Amino acid sequence: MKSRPPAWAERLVDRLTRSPHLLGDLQEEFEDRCTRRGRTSAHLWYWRQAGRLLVALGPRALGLWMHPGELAHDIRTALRGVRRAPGLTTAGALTLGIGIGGPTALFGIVDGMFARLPVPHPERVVSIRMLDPASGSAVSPTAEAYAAWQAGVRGLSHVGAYAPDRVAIASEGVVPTRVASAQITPDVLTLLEVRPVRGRTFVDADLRGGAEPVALIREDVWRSTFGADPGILGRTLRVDGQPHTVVGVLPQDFGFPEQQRLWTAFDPSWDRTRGLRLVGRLAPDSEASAVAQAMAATMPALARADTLIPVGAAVQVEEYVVATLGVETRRQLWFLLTVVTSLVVIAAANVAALLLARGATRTSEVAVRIAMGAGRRRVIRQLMVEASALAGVGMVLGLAIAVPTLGAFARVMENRGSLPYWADFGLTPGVLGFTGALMLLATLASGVVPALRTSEVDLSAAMKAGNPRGGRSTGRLLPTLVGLEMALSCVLLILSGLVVKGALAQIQRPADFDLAGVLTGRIVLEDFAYPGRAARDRFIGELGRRLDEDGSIASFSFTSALPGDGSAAVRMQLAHRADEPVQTWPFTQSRSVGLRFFNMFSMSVRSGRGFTAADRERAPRVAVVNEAFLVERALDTDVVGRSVLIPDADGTPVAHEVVGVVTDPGVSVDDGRRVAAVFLPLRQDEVEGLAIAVRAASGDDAVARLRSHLAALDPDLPLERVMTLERVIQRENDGGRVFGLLFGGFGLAALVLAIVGLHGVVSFTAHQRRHEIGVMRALGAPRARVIRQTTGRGMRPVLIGLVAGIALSWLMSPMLGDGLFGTDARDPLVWTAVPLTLLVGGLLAAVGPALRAARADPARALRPE
Amino acid sequence: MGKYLLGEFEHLVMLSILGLGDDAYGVSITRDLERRTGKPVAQAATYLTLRRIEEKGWAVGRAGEATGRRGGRVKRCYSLTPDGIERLRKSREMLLGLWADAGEALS
Repeated sequence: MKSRPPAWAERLVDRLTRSPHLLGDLQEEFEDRCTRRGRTSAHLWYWRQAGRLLVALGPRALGLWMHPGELAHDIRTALRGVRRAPGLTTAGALTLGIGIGGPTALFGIVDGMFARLPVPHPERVVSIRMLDPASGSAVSPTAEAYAAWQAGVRGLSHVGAYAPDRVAIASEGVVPTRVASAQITPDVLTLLEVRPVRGRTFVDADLRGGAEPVALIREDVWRSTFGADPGILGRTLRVDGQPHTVVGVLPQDFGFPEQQRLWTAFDPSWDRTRGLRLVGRLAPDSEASAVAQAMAATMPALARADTLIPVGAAVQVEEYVVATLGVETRRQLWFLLTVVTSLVVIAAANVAALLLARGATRTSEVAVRIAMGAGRRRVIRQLMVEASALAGVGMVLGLAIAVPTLGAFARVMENRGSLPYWADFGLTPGVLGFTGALMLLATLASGVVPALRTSEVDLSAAMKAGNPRGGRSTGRLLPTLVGLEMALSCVLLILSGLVVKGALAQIQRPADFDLAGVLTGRIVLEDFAYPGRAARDRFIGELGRRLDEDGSIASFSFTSALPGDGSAAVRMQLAHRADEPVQTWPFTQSRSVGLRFFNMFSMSVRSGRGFTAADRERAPRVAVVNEAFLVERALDTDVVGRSVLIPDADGTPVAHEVVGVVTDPGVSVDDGRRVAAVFLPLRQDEVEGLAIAVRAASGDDAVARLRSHLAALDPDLPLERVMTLERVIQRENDGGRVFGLLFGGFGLAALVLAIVGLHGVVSFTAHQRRHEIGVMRALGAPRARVIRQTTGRGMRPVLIGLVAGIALSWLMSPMLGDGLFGTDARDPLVWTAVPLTLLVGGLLAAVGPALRAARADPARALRPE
Repeated sequence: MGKYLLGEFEHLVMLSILGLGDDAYGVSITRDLERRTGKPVAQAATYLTLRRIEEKGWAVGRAGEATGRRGGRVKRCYSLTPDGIERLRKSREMLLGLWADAGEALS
């Protein structure tokens, strides 16, 4: 069959050019392409040509193209119109400002989080993960797999291994501090194309046996900790007590893998149990999926050689930033962004209603302009210029809302220490482009319909003197706008309600214990000052004795991590399932705690016992689990007396006897859910960092007392991170709070815009109908009927819009997923409260104008003007 | 006559019209340019340029034959006007002058 060019594209080209010979040329080439490259390619080609013509000729063909002089004149006329209606201008610009600002702020957050790595060709930097075939979860690639892949994989130009960590750094004449660090192979820096500010990066020779250990520091560490010492290179730095030579300073905008400030060189084969992560760089023109396939092909051989690799494991190769933050998170955020972008449509519908209403009163002005030969296109253009002026001011206001919001978000993230180094929450070209696009959308959505409608003037009718209705009726347009606005507001409110509810659940206080008056601080008993467990034990014992004897300290406790503060997780398995590979053991949150921990945080022993002084270094290893752990692993309290395995620092599983089960006031605030946890005695664990919680007897300064005891024991030991326990938990909650506030704001904006818009429309329609209402009243219709009728007319589109909105939300809500905030997509409270609020709000907005209309004096309404 | 420089693509299209002689129309010009530059050329771009140089009076179009492959639509064949040829000549002189001065540095 002979192929015809796409009809719509052909029509478009015809409309744009009115040139039969061009159509002929295009068809000739199209048929040629059909034979040479196939129909699809030819169709695409035709559409591309049409698109180019549309871009080049579209504005002129639509009558929007204008001479600069005419444009200036139109702008002047538009500004005059704007000045003449300051109320409408202010209301419109504010409305659009809210409509543009909200989505822009969220776009800035999403775009800033998922910004590209600041390296050449960031899309080629990939994260490489091994997936367990059974659970689908990622498992650590082994040193063997790394070595095999480093030897060469088709399509992969580099692969590097790294392991994030936190270390203490100390040096001569420098206050010891702790920083986020990473062990990396030299390849990591090569593939990220990092250029040191000073010195060099790592080389393979740094990994050779007998080579001195080397470290790289970031510029801020160099400046703050070392006072920008010019002789930094070659200086010895103790990293967790081990001397390292500083060989380079890396730039401030580098922080791989997330926000690291110190790097040491390592070879994965040195410590085979170390959890590795792999990062790679794709060769030009190679695809991530092809590389993943090539790597997967090597897996069977690797699995045979190494029992740590699960049989049938798959390989996942994804762009680094996306893989790190999560594909699902990105999908959810983009979905939410799409929903929130409807805020601009709601705002634009509001402004459209305002402009329509105003247009109806401007009939005479428009008629005069047309009568004087302005032409309809010219009038439309002028009205569009007016609409874009409003949207322009709205865009500026929107940026004034979005930029501080983004700044606040960045600060919160930074305070939490979770701002990845590539994140950029500034006014990026992406954000500006998005705002510009919203402004354009707002202009079109708020301007086109009113402009077309207003410019459609029946000259003879409009010019007649004393036209009592002040212009043509706006017919079904206004109710349609109200319905649309209601539907979108309903969707936005329900979905933001779900997000806010999820975020609130996260903020909920985790514990059933008394937070009041608990102050916390942190000390780190560095290896070099307290070598060995015995030295640390002595220190902790002595500090405990002093606090115990201090009358102004009501209670205290030591722990490796405070309740509500993120805690380490360990792989853990029941002894009878010990033959399963260690790599598949599930993680459980773990804390090493002092003797008074359970008591201080109101955790009572349900079964068995808590820890005692007898649980010391040489005694049998013991553990206590919480009730959530029993639930998670489907166990009963008879677990007491059984044995669990936890791998030690070398990866060898060590048996611990479960001696007790405690109740679970939330030890973690993950989503507000109770989290399974295991507790180990402080004295049986290698803990350097120690959190201390103290509660003062009434009125005493517990921290001052704690400081004085610490100083008496070790004058050089700093007490860090002093804050209330409440603040510790709050900090963990900041993310949820910000998102809660943000979406609460979106929801509120949608609600206010919808109700204000409805109020405006009902008032306007009632005003237009004042003549008719006057007649009704004069003929003896009771007030109640007028009120009922006017309210009813106002509410009909509200109801239709609400039903549509609820249906739409129902369809869309599953796309929220449950990963982001543990949101329950079918939360009954949100689903009833939102429609009710909108209904009541709508009713209030409609009744007011109805009452006013009914109260009006019929004689006055009927008087000709 | 103003000191108007020819755009690069304009220049190419006008030279192609000269080279193709009687058979210079949209499709043949586009293919000619694709062959000579080794790069894909959009039919739409050729059309827009032809339209522009015709508006400026540097080329004129006349109706050519209509074939079935063109859906029965006539071709529009272009030839340069004396004004257009004058433009090209000026442009060539200017470029040759520039090349002559640059030649030493290049060699």
